[in-house]
Amino acid sequence: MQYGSVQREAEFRELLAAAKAGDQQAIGRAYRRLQPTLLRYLRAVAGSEAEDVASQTWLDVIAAVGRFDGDEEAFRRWVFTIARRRVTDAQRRWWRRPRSVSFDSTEEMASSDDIAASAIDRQRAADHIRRLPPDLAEIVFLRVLAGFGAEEVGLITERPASTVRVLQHRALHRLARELNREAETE
Amino acid sequence: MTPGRDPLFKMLDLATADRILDGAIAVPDAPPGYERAVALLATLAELPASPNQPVAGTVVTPPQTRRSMRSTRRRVALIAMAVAMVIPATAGVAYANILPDSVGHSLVHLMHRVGLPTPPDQERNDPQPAAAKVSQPPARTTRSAVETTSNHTGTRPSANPTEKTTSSGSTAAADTDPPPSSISQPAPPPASTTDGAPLPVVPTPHTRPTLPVRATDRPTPPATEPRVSRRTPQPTTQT
Repeated sequence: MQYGSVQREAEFRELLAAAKAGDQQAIGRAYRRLQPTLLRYLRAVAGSEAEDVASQTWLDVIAAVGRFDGDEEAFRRWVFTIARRRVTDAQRRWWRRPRSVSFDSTEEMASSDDIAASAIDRQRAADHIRRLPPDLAEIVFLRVLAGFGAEEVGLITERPASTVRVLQHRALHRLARELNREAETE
Repeated sequence: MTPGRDPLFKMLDLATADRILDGAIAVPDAPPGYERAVALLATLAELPASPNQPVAGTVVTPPQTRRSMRSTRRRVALIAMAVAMVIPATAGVAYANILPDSVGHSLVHLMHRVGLPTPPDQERNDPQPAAAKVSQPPARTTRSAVETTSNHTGTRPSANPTEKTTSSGSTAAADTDPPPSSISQPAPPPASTTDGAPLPVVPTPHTRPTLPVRATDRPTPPATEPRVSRRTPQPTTQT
């Protein structure tokens, strides 16, 4: 193990001990570390509810941090697991509510030469992932936006890592097929 | 078409899909048919956490945060407080007449500019009584300004007649010095501004070099006096 990772782990242990003792600054430091990634993930999966879900997630984290034990990666997975459950709770409330997702404008994808130029609007890219089935979209969001590996996604979604790999392969195939189909029709 | 029969499906294996989602495969290296998907995922990875958050590659001038504004305000307040403490303290030292000549004169000029009352020049420059001045030998006037200054500041007490010890044990200065002028009383105008001519200087060891009168300290001519006539004399008509 490298010295940097050892030091980081030691710092996290101090932070976790302080957070368990009720130190608000320690909770604030953990929040600042994780919140940008968490919010990015939640914006993709929960849309306009992302801020509320993130707030609810951190309230749950503060309430349960005394029972947590593990390293920083485990803490990160734990926070995202809580967030994923809060997203599910939120989706129960507004699942049937129509979402304003438009897929009719794909001008930026017309030319294959411009694909690498990142001409696609970022929000529209997230919308394309949302068109996938929810379990596939969730895996893609956790992999790409939250930066988790297949094993970690398996721990979060309570699936074996092999299942996650199959699902992400299926997600990529469906995404490529949809994008190519849209490009052919234009 | 079922996924198994789709040629696009066979172009991608599980390990490559894993690497694509890791971001390890660029668009040119993507399997055939997956270029758009890889480009879309690369775009998605740059998604900001909030709609207002700038993304990478965007140059945004950071606005002045509340914290930096607060620190600027605090800095200004500290400077103002320091100035407010230093000016009265320096003025008090100047009143006590223990500043070096150059500093004292500069401070007097500054106080004149600001409008603060100052002790009269003669009192400041020559605190000893007139009787003591007359008793001093005139040869001491040839001393340099530096020496007179050092005498006055007390580095050579024997040369200062105001500090001569009397027979009763008390100092002569304590008996003969005029009482210090109160700040509340309006100070008399400086000698150079009353009539334009400097006051006569008594040649004593305490005599300080008089500063040149600045143009701003000179009395302004009365408003009724025509200035034009000074430059262009009008022709006189004899009747």
